[in-house]
Amino acid sequence: MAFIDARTLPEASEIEADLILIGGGLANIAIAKQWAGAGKSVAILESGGRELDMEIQALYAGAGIMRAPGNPERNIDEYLIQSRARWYGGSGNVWGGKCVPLDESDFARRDWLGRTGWPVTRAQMQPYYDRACELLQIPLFNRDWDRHPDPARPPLAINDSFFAAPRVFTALSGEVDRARFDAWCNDFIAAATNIRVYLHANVTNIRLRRNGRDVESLDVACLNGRRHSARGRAYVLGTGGIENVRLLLASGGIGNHSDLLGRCFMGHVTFGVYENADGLNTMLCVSDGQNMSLYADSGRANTHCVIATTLEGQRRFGTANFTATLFNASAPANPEDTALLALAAKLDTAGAAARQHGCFFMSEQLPNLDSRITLLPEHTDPLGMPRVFLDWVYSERDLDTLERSIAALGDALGAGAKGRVRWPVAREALLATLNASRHHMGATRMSQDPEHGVVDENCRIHGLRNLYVAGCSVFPTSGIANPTLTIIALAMRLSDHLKRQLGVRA
Amino acid sequence: MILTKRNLLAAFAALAASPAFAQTNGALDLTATEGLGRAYRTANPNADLAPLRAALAGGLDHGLEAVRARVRADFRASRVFTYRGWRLSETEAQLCALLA
Repeated sequence: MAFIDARTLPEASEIEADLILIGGGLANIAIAKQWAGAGKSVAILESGGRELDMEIQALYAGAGIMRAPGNPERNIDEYLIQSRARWYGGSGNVWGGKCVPLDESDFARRDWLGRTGWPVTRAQMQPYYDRACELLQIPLFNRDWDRHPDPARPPLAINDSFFAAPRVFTALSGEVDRARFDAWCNDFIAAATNIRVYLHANVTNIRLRRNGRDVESLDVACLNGRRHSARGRAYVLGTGGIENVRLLLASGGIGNHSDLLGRCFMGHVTFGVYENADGLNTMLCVSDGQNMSLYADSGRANTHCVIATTLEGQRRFGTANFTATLFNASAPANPEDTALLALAAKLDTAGAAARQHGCFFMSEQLPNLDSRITLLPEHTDPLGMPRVFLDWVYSERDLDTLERSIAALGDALGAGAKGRVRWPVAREALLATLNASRHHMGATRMSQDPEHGVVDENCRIHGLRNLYVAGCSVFPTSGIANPTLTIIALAMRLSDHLKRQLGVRA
Repeated sequence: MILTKRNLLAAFAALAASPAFAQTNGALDLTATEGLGRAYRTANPNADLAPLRAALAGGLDHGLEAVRARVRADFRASRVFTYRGWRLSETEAQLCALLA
């Protein structure tokens, strides 16, 4: 009975547990794993079932546009459905398994950028990153990497503005190993007597007590018309970076004391072109013939690296975080490119050969009040929930930081006689050529000061005593790293906090 | 030594003759760099190429080392010329302009 179909419960059932986890994605599953056998009852309320159902997936439908100065707007209505997964396991079902911690610079206050800085440091997060790595069965960042570098795959030494930032893949990914991922999500539930998963249980409203400081109960709705309620001592909202905002806004704007709920939405996108209209590719050429397998052609089994800007580099260039990801170019080299790069290589390093790599760039999107999730009250889904409007806005500063970072990398490679960079994309073509990842960050941002965020350093909504938010919507800055590892690290940290709050003995 | 186009071509030919280069890239096709040279001249019709000529006029070995140093200094100072997306040093572009 660990998995219960809420559609089959008697009408107006009351679900009770010490800890209510709203959403059955990776964040809340990671928390639930910490509570197995903890002597307190846990209920996971999941909108979907055990597999993709398009009727349920369509509950995500809304409207969206992406904007950037000087660029034509881009419609992203489909992105709202295609960038998330609404069944047990959440977006972990379609996750590729790439694990990356945020850099030290991502947590730092960077005065040249504004609205940066987390209320926790990378050093404070390190134990939770380690536990997240253990949970995902991967080596520990960065300890294992630093202690066991592979001499056969040396990093490219550019200068102190750039470093080799490692990435690792876990096999615990729905996209890569379905059976193993399902076992990871399900087996502990079967073994734990204190955890129940309610499937097809959509939370449509969060009710507060009259004091306005405690959640009293949740309204739960099923697509077959059944209505239930849920009560707990503490609640964790972990329905994804867009749905977290949707539910809080639809519940009367819980957490919107600072007018920041839904604002500062940030995503990750890759910038690069491959055989554009002029036949040009984004490329990075290495002059000295160095083995670049650390960066390209590593496969999933090996740690691989991207070229990333250090905190010092960001300060020097006045930029945000930035990476270049390399891969082996498949297109035949153009004779003119070959000649130009041969000349460059000769001028860089006598006798060496130029080695061309395809690449794409990523540049941190900075918090921006205009980049925002709001509700469309006149458009509701079959459960009566207002649909969302995502106005994903890149600022002039975001475009500046991208272009300045590429220029800085090109200059650093040239000054160090290491190579050249090609970036053949005009600023006004950026939106049309970028590829968006499925990372929805920042719209319930974390802050110590209630005036500057939605949740506090413990992921608790400012001003409330028992409502918490899990997932990357709490990220105050987005970095470049794929967010899942940090989501799980934060979930570990939140779980410890909740155990203290609810009196779970260590 | 006075730098002529023929001398410059000879310098590049010498570069291209290095064994490692020959193994990996074949001969350096200097005609393929003419597009860059023309683009630089078009964008910089009043560019003063005399300093580069002078740097190369000191003899082949000495001249090329001087050019290499200029290239690195260009990048340190962000003196660059962008051609078909490639971020190149001004010196590289001027070299090709001398040939174009």
